[in-house]
Amino acid sequence: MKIILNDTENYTLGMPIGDVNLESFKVLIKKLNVVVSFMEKRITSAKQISLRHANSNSGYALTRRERIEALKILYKSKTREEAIEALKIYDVKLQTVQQCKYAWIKKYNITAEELGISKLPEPRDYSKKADLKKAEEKQ
Amino acid sequence: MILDFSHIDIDSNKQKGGRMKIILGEDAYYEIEVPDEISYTGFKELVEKFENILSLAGK
Repeated sequence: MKIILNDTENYTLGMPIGDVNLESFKVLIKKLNVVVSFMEKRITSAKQISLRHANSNSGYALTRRERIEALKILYKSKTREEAIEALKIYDVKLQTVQQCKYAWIKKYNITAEELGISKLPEPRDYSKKADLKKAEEKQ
Repeated sequence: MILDFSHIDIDSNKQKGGRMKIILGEDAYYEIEVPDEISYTGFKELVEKFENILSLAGK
């Protein structure tokens, strides 16, 4: 049986045809659930690739929804590699990044090269903005 | 791409669909059509259907 995952990905799976006894059927269901989990992972992965692709196009800004999705991937990341992949989704080419994203870069000692950029971004300095606001208020 | 499920030991290598006859008991069985091709959503529904058959059989 061919399972169509998306436009570019499909898998062929052998299925028992004809008589199947109850014990084999129970085992089959367990195994098919393994296949379902495998495919769910493939779908998540394809979604990440799609986000990365969107972000790699110059001049394309991620939508708010895509950014939230990317942030979820970052926070769920359990390994250094996963965090790098998630950070790549962001537009880390920006000179500064939010403190939360910067914390992940520091946590895993991620290099600019690993993120595919020439220089690591700096953490955004919110105090400067606050000082400027205070100065404006005084004036 | 053909998935290699040898590590989870699916007891058939038939890659085409067909009719599956699930023997639930001495006089009870359930027949279901397994398609040649199916969408991912359809596949999930098929697995759910299988689970329902199992629970209907009270096993």
